[in-house]
Amino acid sequence: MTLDVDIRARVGSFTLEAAITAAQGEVLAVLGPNGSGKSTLLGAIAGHLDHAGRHSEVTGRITLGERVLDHSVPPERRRIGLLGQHTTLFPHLSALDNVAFGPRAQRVHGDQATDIARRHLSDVGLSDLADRRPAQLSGGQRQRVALARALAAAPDALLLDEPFAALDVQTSAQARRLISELRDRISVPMMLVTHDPMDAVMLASRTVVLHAGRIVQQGSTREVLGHPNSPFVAAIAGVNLVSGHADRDGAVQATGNGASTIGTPTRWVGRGDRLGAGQTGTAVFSPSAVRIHAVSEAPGSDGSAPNTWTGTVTHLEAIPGGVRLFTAEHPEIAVECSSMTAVEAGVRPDAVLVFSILEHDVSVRRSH
Amino acid sequence: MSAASTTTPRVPGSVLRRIPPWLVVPAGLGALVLVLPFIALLARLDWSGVPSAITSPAAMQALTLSLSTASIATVTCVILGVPLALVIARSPQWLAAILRTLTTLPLVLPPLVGGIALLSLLGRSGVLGDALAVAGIRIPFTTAAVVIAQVFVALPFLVISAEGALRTAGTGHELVAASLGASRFTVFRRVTLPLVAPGLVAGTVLCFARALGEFGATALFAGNAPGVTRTMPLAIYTAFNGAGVQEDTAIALSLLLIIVAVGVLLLMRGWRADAVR
Repeated sequence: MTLDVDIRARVGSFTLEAAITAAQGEVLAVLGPNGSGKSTLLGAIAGHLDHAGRHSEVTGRITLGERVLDHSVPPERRRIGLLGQHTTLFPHLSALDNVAFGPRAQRVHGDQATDIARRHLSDVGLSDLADRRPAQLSGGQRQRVALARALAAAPDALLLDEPFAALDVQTSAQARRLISELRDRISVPMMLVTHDPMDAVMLASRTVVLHAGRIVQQGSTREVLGHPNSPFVAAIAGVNLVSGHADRDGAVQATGNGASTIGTPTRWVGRGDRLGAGQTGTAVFSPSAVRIHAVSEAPGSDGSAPNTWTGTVTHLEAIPGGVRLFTAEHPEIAVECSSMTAVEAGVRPDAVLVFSILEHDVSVRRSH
Repeated sequence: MSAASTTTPRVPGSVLRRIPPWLVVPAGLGALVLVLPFIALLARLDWSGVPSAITSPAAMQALTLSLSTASIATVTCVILGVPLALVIARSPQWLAAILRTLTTLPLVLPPLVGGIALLSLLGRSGVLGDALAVAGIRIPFTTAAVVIAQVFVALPFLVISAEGALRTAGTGHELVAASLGASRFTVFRRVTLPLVAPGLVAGTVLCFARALGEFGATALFAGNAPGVTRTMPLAIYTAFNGAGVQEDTAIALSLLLIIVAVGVLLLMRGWRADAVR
C-alpha cells in the first residue's frame, strides 16, 4: 500500500502545493519550520482541513493503495492513523479503553476489541498500566498508549505530527526507537512531520523539505541533509552552503551564497560531482569539520589555496560543549569547535584566524 | 511555580496575605450583601408556624408543581441546549458571535418582558394564536406554559456553560476519534459529551435553579392558578400579598425554597467532584 499525494490546498490566503509519495513500510520525513504548510498537508491527507472553521479547498489527488481519498471520504473512513505532539488520549477512559476505542468504533465485538487492545498495549510494553487513566501516566507512557491506540485501529497509513516535540530528551530517544521498531514491524506508509532534522536522520530513508507551502527539496535523507540545494535547507540541516562557478581546476569559486565580502573569492574542492570550468555548483560542509589555526602556524593562508580562508571573528555563540563563531569576511559561514580548541586557537572577538577544511569533508554538487 | 511551592511552605492564609489588605473591606461588604438578607429572613421567622405552613396542602401542591415543572424544563433545556451549544461552539467566529448574543438575550431582559414575548407568540391573539386555536391547543395559563416560561429563561444558562466547556475542550480529541474510525455520532456520544460533562453538570444545576426560581414570565404567561400554574415563587408572592396576615407563611415557604435550592446545589456539587475525578 502506497500513500500518493499530489495536491494543491488553500486555507485562507495560504496555499500549499505538494507532490509526495510514501511507500509501504517507509518513513517519509516532511521537514519544515512553522508556517511552511506541514499542518495543512496533514489536514488535507487526514481529511479534516475544513475543521478549522476557515475557508479551505483541496484540489488534486490523494490515493492510498487502490482507494482515492477525495472530499467525499470523511476522516472516519480514510483509515489514516494520527499521532500528534500533544497526546490527545481520551481523559475519561483507561489506557486499555483508549486503545480499544478504534476497534469498538469499527464495531468489533466487545471482548474481541479488548483482546486487540491488550495485544497492542503489550506491544508498547504497557500491559501493567492498562487500567490507568491518562492523567496517571508519564508523558512518554502517554505517547506509547497513543501509538498503540493508533495501531489498534488497523490504519492503512500513519501520520506522525511532531510526535517527539513535547517529550524530554531521554523520553524522545525512547519514542524514536519505538517508531523505528514499528517501521520494521508494520508495513504501512508513514509520514513523519517534524522541524527537527534529527528525526529524519534517525527514522526516514527519504526526506521532503517544505518552505512557504512549496517543496524546496526532496530525495534520500542522506542527499537532502548531506547536500542541501539551497541556503534555506542548509540552515535546517545545520550545514554551510557555498555556491559559485568552477574555475579551470574544477574548484568552486565562491561568488554566490557564502562568498567572501572582501578580497579574492575562496575556492572549494571536495568529493562528489566533478565540475567543468565555468559550470555552476555548490560546496557543502559541516561547521564542526572546519579546523582553526592561529595565523602564525597557518598552512598556505595567502588566499590561493583551496579550502582555506582567513577571517576576523565578529561574534560567538555558545553551543553544547563548545562555541559557534562567525567572521566579518564570511558572515554566512558558521564554524564550530570544542571549548578546548577555542582556547588553544585563541578564539575571541576581533581575533584574526585561519580556517581550513579537508577535501574529504566537503561535498560538491553541480547545479542544475 | 513548582520551585516557589517547594521553597514556600503551604500555610493556610499565605495566599490570602498576597491580596492588598484594603480589598478585604469591599469583599466583606459583598459577602454581607449576599448573606444578611437570609439571616434577617431566618430571624423574622415564626418557627412555631413553620411546620404547619410548609406542610400545608397548598404549600406541598406548589412545591410538587415547582419541582416537576423545573425538572421537565431542565430536561428540555439539556435536549435542546447541548446541540445548540455544539453548533455555536463549532461555528465560524462571526456566526458564533451572533448566535451567542441571541442566546443570551433572555438572560439580560427582565423575565416580565419574556412573558409578554411568549404571550405575543403563543397567546390567543399572538402570532401563532390562530393556528394553535385551530389545532385545539391552548397554551397560556396551563402547566405547559409554566414549563415553556421556565425553558425560555433557563436555557441560556445551560447553553453558555456547555458552549464554554465545548470551546475549551477543542476539537483535537474529536479529530483523533474520527481518525480511529468513529462515526460523527459515536464521537459525540463517546468523546465530546464525556469531555464536557463537568461543565454540562454545572450548567444543568444553574438551569434547574433558574427554572425553580422563575417568576416574572410565569406570572404573565401562565398565570397563578393553584395546582396548575402556581409554582413556589408564585405561592410565596400570593401569600405575601394576602393582606399581610400570611406574611409568615410567605417567609416559611421561602425557607422551603431555599432549602430545596441549597440541597440541589450540594447534591450536584458532590456529583460533579466525582465526574472531575
